[in-house]
Amino acid sequence: MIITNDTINLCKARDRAAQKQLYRKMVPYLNVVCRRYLHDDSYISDILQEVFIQIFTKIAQFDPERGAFKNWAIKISVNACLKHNQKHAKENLQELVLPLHEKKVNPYVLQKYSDEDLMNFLRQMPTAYFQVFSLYVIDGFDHKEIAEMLEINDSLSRKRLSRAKAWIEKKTSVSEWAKVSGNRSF
Amino acid sequence: MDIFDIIKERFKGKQSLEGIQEDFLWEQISNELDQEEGKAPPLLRSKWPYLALLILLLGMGSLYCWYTDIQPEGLNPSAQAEDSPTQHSPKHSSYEDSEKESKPFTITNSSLSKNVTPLDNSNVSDVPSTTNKDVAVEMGQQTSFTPLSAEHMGKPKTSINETRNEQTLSENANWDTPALIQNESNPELEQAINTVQSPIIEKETTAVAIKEKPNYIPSITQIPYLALNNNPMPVSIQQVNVKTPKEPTLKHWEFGFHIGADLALLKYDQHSQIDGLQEEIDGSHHSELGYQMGFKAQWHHGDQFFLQSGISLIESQTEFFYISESATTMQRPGSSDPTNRVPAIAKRKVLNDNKFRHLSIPLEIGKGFRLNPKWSLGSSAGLGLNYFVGQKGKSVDQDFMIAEFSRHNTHPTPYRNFFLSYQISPYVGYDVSRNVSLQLSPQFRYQQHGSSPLYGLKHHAFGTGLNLNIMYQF
Repeated sequence: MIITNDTINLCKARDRAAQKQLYRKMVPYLNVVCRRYLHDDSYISDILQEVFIQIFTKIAQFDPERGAFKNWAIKISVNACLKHNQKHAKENLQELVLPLHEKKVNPYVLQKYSDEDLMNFLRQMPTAYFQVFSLYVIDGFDHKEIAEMLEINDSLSRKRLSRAKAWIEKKTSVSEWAKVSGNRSF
Repeated sequence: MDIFDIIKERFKGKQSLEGIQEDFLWEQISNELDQEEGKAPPLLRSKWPYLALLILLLGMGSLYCWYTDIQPEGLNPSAQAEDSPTQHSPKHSSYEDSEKESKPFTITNSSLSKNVTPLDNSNVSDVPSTTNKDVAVEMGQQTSFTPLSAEHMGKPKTSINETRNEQTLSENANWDTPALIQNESNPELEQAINTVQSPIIEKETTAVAIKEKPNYIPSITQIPYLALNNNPMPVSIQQVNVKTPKEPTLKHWEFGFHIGADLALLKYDQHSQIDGLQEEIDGSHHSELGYQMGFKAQWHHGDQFFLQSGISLIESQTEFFYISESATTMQRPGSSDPTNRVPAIAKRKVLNDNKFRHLSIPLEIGKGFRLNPKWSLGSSAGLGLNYFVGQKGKSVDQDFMIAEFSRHNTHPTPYRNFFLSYQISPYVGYDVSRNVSLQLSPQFRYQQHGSSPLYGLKHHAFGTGLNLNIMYQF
């Protein structure tokens, strides 16, 4: 996915053809990003529409020297999803206190899942942990950027990432698996 | 391979059009972009510039009212004396004649004597007072006792008879000076009821509030994972009972009512028709507790800011002394003949209540934050548009009758119908339940009264209040 400066400049000039070209390149990617952060996927079309409206109306503020266009668009998408979740909040954050590094990770468990199943599995972790985990591991933002997007501080972002990792380790440990599956083991 | 690497490898750069209709979505976006481009600039689409403009207009209106005098026709003493002498009643004409000749009724320590005595009754009677509660008599041997000349005694000073005001004064009078005798038999020496001042009381208010209520989630059952593929992932089901602050809804309404105490400290700035009255009033009154109550509505925008309005009925109360002066006679000092009498002036201090009611419609902007799931703090500030409802106490009107001023009276009142106030209201809130909260809210306000129709009296007031608010969040 390559977004050229010419396309961006034409979008700044409100060229509708360039906007459509940008949309077609970005929408498959932002669709995945937004689905990852939305609590309710049924709002995906509304959110994407809002995201692209923001992108096209704020594109004049984009500075290529400060980062890639894709990251800028992801930030807008994530913020839109988080605001939407907050507005339609029916879930609450829960503090899940887990002992860190209690169990060994068995990567084999994760590798056997499809992408959809794996994402469904990850989304079971507390929302705050999942947001940091997804932004850091999948989307590649650093803790400072995550802190700005989630309006938290850097240390809390690191702590949530650590707890997200602990949550995954606990859920994928051999002992947990054996405990539930009974006669199956790795 | 690290678990993070596994997940990153799976999802990094993943693209999908699942769940969306690409062309239809673009049409929607394109249409909305067309509408956006046809709209006003973003600044004008925001409500804040309009709110700022409203506040600016209200401020300018307040200044205009403050610096604009109301000079009703016929209330300017000098103009009336010179331009329309035929409008004076006979009783006043005779009184003026006597003043012009000998000026026998000059009363020191009374600001009214300087102006009201030589003028017609309409000016004298304009001064409002209120219900008499107590009476004390002062006999000013040096300052208020002035023998009248014979020719003055021969002329009627006033012709006011049998008014309610006189009855009140005579009933309450305590003539504790033996030498001072009320003139009941000599109609020529009627009481010259020169009065004084009147406290005008004020008003108003509103309180404020903000809040983010806690959200009590009875239970959350995590979705049991995995009936997928042939290798379901076992995940334990957790029943989690949590009690966490409710995530603030970006926009919502809160309604409620408030009741509380009110105290207004008056300060008179200017009196355009009676010299010295301002100082006399300021030194004679003190404030007493009144009350305020009403409804309020808050529109919360975001998790901290809110706009607030509503309507409140506020009754302020002032207690004050006014000095009533009257003409009478007393036995001539050193004489044993009871018929050897000389004119005298009696002064009385009368304690009054003056209750002032008005409706207040505030427009405030506020900000609050949450201390914990139950307690919150915040404050709001803004303007209040106030409307005079009525004066509950009694006053002396233009005809020397005891009168109550209200909006229903046809004649002008000593209070301006509309005035502005500037107010700030901090609060401490406590959430009783998910939707109901209590707030304790002190209020500090500054009231700015313009020139009144009856006296041209300007004054301002510093008001304080303490309200209990009960708010319901929708």
